[in-house]
Amino acid sequence: MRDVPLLIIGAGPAGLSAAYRAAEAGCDVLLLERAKKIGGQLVKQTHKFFGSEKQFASTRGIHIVDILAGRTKDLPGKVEILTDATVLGIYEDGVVTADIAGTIEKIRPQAVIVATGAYERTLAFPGNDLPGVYGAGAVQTLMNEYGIKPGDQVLMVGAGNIGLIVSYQLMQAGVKVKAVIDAADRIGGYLVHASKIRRAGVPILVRHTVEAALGDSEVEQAVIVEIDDEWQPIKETRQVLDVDVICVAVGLSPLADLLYQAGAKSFYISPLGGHVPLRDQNMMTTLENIYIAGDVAGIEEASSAMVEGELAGVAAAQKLGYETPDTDQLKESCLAELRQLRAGPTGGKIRTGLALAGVYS
Amino acid sequence: MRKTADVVIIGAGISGLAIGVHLAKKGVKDIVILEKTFPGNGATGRCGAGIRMQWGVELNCLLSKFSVEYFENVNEILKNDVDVEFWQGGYLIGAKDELEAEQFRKNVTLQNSLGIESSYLSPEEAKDMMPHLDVSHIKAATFCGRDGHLNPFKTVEAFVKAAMDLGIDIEKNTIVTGIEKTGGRVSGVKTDKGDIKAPIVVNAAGGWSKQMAELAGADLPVYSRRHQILVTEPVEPLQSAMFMGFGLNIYIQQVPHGPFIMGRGDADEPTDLRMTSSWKFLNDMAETVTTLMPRLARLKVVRQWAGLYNMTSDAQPIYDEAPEAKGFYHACGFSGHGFMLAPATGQLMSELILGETPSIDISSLGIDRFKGDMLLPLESSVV
Amino acid sequence: MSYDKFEQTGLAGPHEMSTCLPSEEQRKKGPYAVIECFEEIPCNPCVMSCTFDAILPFEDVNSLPLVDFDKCTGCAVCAGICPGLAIFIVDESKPGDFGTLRLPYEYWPLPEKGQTVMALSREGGDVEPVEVVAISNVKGARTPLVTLRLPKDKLQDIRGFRFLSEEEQAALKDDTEAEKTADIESLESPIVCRCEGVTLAEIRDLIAAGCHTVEEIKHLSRAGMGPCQGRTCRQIIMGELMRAGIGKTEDMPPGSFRPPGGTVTLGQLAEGGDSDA
Repeated sequence: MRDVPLLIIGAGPAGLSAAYRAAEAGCDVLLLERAKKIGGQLVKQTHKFFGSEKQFASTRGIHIVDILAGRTKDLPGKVEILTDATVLGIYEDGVVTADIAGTIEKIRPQAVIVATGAYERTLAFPGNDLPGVYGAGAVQTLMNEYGIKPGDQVLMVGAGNIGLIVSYQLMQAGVKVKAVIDAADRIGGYLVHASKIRRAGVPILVRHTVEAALGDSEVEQAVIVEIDDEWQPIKETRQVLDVDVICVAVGLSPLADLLYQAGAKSFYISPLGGHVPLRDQNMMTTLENIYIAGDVAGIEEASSAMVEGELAGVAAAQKLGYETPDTDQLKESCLAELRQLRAGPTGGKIRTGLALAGVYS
Repeated sequence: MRKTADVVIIGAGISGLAIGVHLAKKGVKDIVILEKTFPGNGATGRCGAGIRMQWGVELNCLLSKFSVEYFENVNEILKNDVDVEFWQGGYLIGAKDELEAEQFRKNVTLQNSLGIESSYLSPEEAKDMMPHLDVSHIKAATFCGRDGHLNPFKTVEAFVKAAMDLGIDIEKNTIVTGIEKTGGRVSGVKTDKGDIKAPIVVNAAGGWSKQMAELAGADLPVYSRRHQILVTEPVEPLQSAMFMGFGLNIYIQQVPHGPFIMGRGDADEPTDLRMTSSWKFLNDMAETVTTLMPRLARLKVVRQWAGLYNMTSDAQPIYDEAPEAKGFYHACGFSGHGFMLAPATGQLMSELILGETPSIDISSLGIDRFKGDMLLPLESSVV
Repeated sequence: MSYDKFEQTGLAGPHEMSTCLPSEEQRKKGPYAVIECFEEIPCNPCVMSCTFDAILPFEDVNSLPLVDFDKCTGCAVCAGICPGLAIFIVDESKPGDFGTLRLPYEYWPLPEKGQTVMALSREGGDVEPVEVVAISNVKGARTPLVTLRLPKDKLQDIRGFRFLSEEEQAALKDDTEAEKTADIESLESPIVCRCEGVTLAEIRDLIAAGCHTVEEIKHLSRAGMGPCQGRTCRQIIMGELMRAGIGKTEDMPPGSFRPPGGTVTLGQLAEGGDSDA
């Protein structure tokens, strides 16, 4: 049994930022990461980030990992980062169990920040189990982490930021993107991304859905169709595309299973991506001393994940008695930054979601 | 929801469903089963769903023999074709020490005398039957080939279908908030969806039966404690029989589609209504099973969960009318065996309620036995 | 039906472009930045990067960038910084029929100076072969910028290019004519729970049979009992319940979430067994 003041689960942008702020306040941190390297989704983000200077705007995600990790060193508190470490459960007695490089360890933290990110949603269409049907995350992992081309001709399902960015990255890798489709009546992602892939000749079809993947033992074709106001297919508009990859990028949901197992209260809040644990202004869930930050608290951009991580890190450390004269000021500025990031029209969805969750009154 | 009924049953677990089906088959017309969530979501859907005739006291042998024979013919009896996946691969029960082995000899003699074809085995004979079992940890074993296990969800489905075919109303998502009495007799049930007048109310609320009894002003000497189970990934068939050990505190089976399911309780845990899981269970169970069956060490655990045992002090059920409220019947305190006893429960409770001669003498399973020194011999064949 | 609004196509039209171009007068002065950023998103590197204060100060991080063309020198620092690749540098100040367009380009390989490439419209359509006259930001973190020599009347229409040596790719329309009659209806029902191989048809049958919660469906179909613990199927099942009129997803009980949160072997658990708590 290992006693630690603060345990952080997930070394993505939120978890790394949380570790930095908590250790800065003097709190020792154990940071567990399931993957073999830290960074979470950042390790796949070869594009430049939006946001402002504080969230490393205009820096590529793959380079932000190093900056975030570098900040966790030489601080008043010690940050110990363990990779290949999967948390198995947060149990009723406060004990957290983890599979750390094959060995089961038990940890007794005084506080926990869950920064586990999100999981991909998927669609039910005939043929969705054929090889060649991928989630967008898998395509990014194959290409950007392992340098493997997922295929030659792609149908991208989903015109949110992920669908648009992954389409762009596929083109950068020399893969033909046949079309980007989305069931909604507008492009969900940033329009600069959309314009960027349009000028490379890729059509974006709103109000279209994938009806089926065809092929004997792998994807050979995709059937797409326009849908009407009732979201029913208009059969006359059916098109068959020759593709060997159907990339499904239909959104993310908070990955909060650990919290639900532990009994945290949650709501289904569609704008935040599905079931999401409730939290207060300090990012604490309904479970005492258990905090959340990043996509697990509602699907957003990496920029806000970093700020939420900082906020949770400061707040959790403060709760454990690690304070500096700047603590309250720091929390205020995190909240102000989050308000800024969510202020524009593209932040409308997240504002609605957070209002439903009772975070903003 | 209807306003009046002939019988209201609290709890759509396997016991409540079986009681309802048996009453309806005997011609009782207006039966309502009230269920807090949905059928089988309590201990029924959480249990190992094993059934065995190898017991240490006569009554349990007779009750379970009735149930085995019932499940062998369940589709004819319930008049539907739901496959309850009754797998009769037997129970192999291991004795941890000489004391237990000695008890097992007596058990087999008793069982055989009641027509139950069980046998006493040496560790070597047990090894032949279950090659992956490290028999150095057992002193002896018993085996009965007609024992086995079912799919609890499918079994519930079969009973629910039968209940609906017989015209029983199952009210899901309905919480009992009170039990009405008039002059020492039960007269109805209050729920969050409305009230029902009924002269007969059956308490089949499993882990919550004590709380239901309290609503009727009745004292029920039972307590609840969670037992935990884990399930592994599915693998090729390896183990046909359920393996069980009382001193070893384990039951482990491989279900038809491949996963191993194993469970136990922890007598040191408090008695309450918690159904949370513990890391300690995973540890302890893994230690036990990898000691007994080293080959299983490579199996991955997929999930763990807990359910409530509703216990009596002699580990045998209570089938009785509450002395404090005429017409209020208890079918509870199954002490972990409610699933396997359910067919007998249905039959015997329907006979008790309708004043018929019981198929099996259950006069000793009354609630009075806890008052004086009329306690039954403790059933020691319990995990 | 046609979906031709900017937010449906991603294509800037006359309305959008009218907000980001300089006056006739200013165009003659020298190169200038065209910032085709028409949606308020939380992003401000352009305004932070401009050393000439030629991008009007932001009210907050979501403000739209507006160029003060009297101050803009067309230095292209912002174009190399913009994460959205939305900034283009146009120079039509030189005499004659030709001007230049500097555009951000993140594909590999980069073209070479002097190479002839096919200029592309905002939709990626071929316009005409043009010459690459310069390449900058080849090293470092900034986005490479490729300068194309273009007829002045096409400077606001061309926003990309492709290599001529690439095989002509068949346009979307061409290979879509073939099989409009694909028999979707006869295909096998799609998989909803990949762990346990449960199909959509099975889920719909159970809903029709009265299973109105995720948990009831899990009991009878095994959907959600596999190692992923319902991450794939849970929301699809909730969507099906909603379609069947059972209720709103917001009001549905989500079903159980069970530990452990990852698969782990019995052997690992047994070895990690320090029951000292």
